[in-house]
Amino acid sequence: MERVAEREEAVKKYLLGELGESEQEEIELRLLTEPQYLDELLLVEEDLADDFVFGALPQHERQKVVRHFLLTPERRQKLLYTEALKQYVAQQAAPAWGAGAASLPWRWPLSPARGKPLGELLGRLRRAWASSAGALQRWLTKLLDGRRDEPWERRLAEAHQSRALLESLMAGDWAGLRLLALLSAGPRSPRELAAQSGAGEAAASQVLARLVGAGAAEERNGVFYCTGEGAKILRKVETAAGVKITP
Amino acid sequence: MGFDDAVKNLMLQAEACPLVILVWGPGRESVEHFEKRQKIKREVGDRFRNAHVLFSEDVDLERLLRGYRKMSYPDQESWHLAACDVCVVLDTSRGAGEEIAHFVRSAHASKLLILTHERHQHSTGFPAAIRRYENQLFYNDQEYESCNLVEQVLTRIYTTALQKLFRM
Repeated sequence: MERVAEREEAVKKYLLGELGESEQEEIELRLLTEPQYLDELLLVEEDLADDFVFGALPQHERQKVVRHFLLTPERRQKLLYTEALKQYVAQQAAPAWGAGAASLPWRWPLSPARGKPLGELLGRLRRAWASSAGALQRWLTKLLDGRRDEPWERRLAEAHQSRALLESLMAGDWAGLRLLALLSAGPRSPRELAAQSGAGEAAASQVLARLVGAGAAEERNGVFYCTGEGAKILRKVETAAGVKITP
Repeated sequence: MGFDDAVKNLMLQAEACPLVILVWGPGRESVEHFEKRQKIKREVGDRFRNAHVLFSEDVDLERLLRGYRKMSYPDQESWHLAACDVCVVLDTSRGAGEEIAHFVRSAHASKLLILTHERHQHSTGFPAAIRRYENQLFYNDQEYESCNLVEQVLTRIYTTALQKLFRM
């Protein structure tokens, strides 16, 4: 019988892009057919976001979080939310625990699945957020928006977004640019893209994930589309290179 | 002309881009790390032949900025950072990181590429945004010894050159 720790480890590897194609497909099939497995994935996602925010991940996993895990807007939002919670907990904990609040072991408060009292508070906070409870969501939204509105952070975010777009094109020795050029002609499945570009399906999927994360492509029901942002960058490439690469 | 020609044209234009690249880090007194700075400077200069690759300590702007030599070193570095396209910071000790801490919230923070040893990743005082937006990357001993660190720098400079080319 599969143990919880083994299941969680497999899900974590899936989220960090460490699994081979057949293992990924196995996990994805289980996510579609086993509701409890999806719940476990969501818990592991939260743990991963917590570990990242509190600096508990080794360096090679931190890089994989940035390159794989944070490709979806929902997970990026989850990360921002965890950072906001960290601040909220520190502020709420200070009156009760005084100076000792800053030295609370980070893991203890953030493990609702593990039944710790403060973890239950955070579990309630997360559920309140999900159900759009008014005061808490307004407070967290203001905190998140306020942080994103700091000019220096906004500039960093804009520069990073711009770099991420270019790096998604350069991914896989410019396979990103090739795939995006193919998408500009019309929506394609990963299998079609892999066949037309000569890349393996697994490699194409990784590159597509980066294009989606950078906003150059989007995915709907297993089919990929070039976005307006993607079309714009393709035009810039063609102008700069003096060569037409779109069909 | 096809796809491969397009990519080749882009790479050639990126490598010919007139960029100003700073390489900050330990001075001559730290022999091993200074050699790494020199290696980065050399490799970047070889690849990007129209780029001006500099150490701040070699810059003297007195002719252009009256009173430059009387400025404090951080003030002089502010001018350098404002004028550059990319500033690579070889952060080999906690002290080096503290020296640039006041730049990380500046208007030019996005130009920084801070390379910090992974043993300092829990003690680094930079804001989380610097790591989140990949303005600080962590390396281990093996990456330091191999070409990996230089490759990361070159990739960052390529994207900076393409940003200029595409007016992004």
